Amino acid sequence: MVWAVSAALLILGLAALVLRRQLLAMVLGLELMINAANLNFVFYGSRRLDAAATAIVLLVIAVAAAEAVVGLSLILALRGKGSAAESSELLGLQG
Amino acid sequence: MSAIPVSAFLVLGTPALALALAFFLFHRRLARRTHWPILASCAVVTLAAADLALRAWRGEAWDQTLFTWIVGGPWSVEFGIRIDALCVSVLAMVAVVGTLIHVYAVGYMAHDPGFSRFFLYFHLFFFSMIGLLVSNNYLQLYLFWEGVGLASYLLIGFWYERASARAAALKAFLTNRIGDACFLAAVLLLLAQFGTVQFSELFERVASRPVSDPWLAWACGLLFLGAAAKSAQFPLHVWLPDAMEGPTPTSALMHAATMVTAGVFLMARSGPLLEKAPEVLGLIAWIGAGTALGSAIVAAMKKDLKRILAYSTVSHLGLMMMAIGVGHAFAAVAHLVMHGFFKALLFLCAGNVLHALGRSTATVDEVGGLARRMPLTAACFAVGALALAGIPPLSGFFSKDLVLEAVDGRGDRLLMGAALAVAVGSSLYIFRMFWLAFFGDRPRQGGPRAQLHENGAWMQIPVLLLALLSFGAGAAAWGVGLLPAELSGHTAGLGLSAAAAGLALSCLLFMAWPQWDWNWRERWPGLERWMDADFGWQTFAHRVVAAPAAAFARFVAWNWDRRVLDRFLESSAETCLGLSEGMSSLSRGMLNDYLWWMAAGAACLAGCVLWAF
Repeated sequence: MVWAVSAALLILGLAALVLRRQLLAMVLGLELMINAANLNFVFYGSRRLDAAATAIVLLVIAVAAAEAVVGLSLILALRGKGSAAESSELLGLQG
Repeated sequence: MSAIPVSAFLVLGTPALALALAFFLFHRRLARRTHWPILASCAVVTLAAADLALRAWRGEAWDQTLFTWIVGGPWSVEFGIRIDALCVSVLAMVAVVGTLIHVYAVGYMAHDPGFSRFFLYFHLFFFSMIGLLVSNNYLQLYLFWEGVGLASYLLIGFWYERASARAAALKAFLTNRIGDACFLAAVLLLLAQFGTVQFSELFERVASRPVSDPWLAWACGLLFLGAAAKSAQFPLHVWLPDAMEGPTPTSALMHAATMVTAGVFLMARSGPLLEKAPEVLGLIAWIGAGTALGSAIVAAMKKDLKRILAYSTVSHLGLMMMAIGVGHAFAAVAHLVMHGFFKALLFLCAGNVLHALGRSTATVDEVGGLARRMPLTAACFAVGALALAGIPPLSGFFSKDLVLEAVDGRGDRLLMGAALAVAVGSSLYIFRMFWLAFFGDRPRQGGPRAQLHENGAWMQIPVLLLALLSFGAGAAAWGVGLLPAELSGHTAGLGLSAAAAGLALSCLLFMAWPQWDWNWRERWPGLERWMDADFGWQTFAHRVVAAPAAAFARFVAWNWDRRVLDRFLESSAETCLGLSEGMSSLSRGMLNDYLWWMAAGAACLAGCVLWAF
């Protein structure tokens, strides 16, 4: 059952990432996907008594925190410049 | 055979190096100084050519293969240098005359915005001619032959903003294409028949063939057509008079040293082949005679200064071809060399006049009485005119006498009569030009003359040196034994009386009775038009060859290029455009799209990995 929950979390996160235009919502989607992975690690790590999996979870939480800091501060900076912080405004990657 | 001297490499290598230097360095950074490397190269070439001439005079000759150029199936073509008496005699003249004209051009082109470009083209012309002379096989000769054609095209069309110059350049190039195609066909024919195009090997193999071998006759005929285009022989002479559109130093170089001499040189070089094709030789003699006589008559009625000289060149080339045709290539080459000196001199004198007038062309009606304002030019022109008419002891006398002797030796009264008529005509047209341009203000003359003056030293010194050469080169060559010591009294007397007759006739018609030159034109305007178009040949060639070819080209341009090719290309371009528009919607810069594609790609990869293991 746990794999189904984590798969649902991953897909929901991906859907938020791909479908929502607000950067804040996209960052939230990203967090969901990371935690889907973490859920798997924790569940299967405790089942197989694998300490490495638990260690990876701690690392991932640290990386996710850093990512949230960078992402949120970028969003704040954009808002500070009067932007709506939506992906439809950030078209610098246009080919 | 001793090792090939350094001079042989210098004559070919120096101009190439100078051209590279002038193009990559001077043309871009020091455009007013482009003539420096080029004049230095001219000096080196002249010294090297003099060295080669001295060695060749002592009887040395070389034929050295440098490297294999092309290998194809059983055949290979080498790139080499052949230095022998024939090559060196023309080479020495080309080097000296070419160098003097280069120096002259520094003065003549000084105020032209295309100064630097002119010198690059000019030296390319010179370089190609030298390469042509020292080639040791037909294909290498053909390569430089095309180089000469290209440089002449660029120089005739030098003032490309003028429509007439563009048309003249195109006419020269296309007429020469006909000849070049024949030349190439001849080279391929020789390669197929004899398995080599290298002169020494080819001539050995030809020697064992019977006389009147049909393949050989075809090859010789095609070679002659190639030579006829370059050396302006009927029916391919049409381009030369129009080629006067280029700057005057170009005309001088083209008529004296580099372009038109190539055809005569090719015929002289192909002597061992021509010996085996007596029918072709007869044809060459008669075409030469017809061209010489016809153009001498036309030269006597033309009004444009440079065109008179152009027809005079055609006429003298006809004389050389007659000498080739009667089997005396030596006489042809001797006349080629002497003609180079005095024709360059005459053109540069005409250039002096044009430069002083500040125009690119002038007719004899627009000048006149120049002797008072430009005495030095007039004196030099007189030397050139006397040499051209064949008055002893000037250079033209010796070489023209050799040609007359050669023609006389054939025993054909009609041919000899034609040659003598050409001698009368030469003297007539050149003194007509002299009287009309340098003496006597005529009643209907107009144009600015008050400010006329002699030109600077850059232009005067080459003219004086050429006058010296035109005066003494023949006597000097005769004195040191380069020309046969025995002068035949019979032909010398005939030639001299022909020249004197022409001179007397010109005095009578154009000094004593100067109105005559207009009166006959007014009385018979149709005759003038007919003669002005080379006895109708220019009109005929235009209607029968040039106009249908142009119509065909227009037809193809519309029906094939526009309708088929362009439509196909346009539709393929539109397809590409549509595709790229479709593709570009994938990358409109939305972060969400990219993330979607990234996720899809990751899913695909994961799917592949799961499927594989």
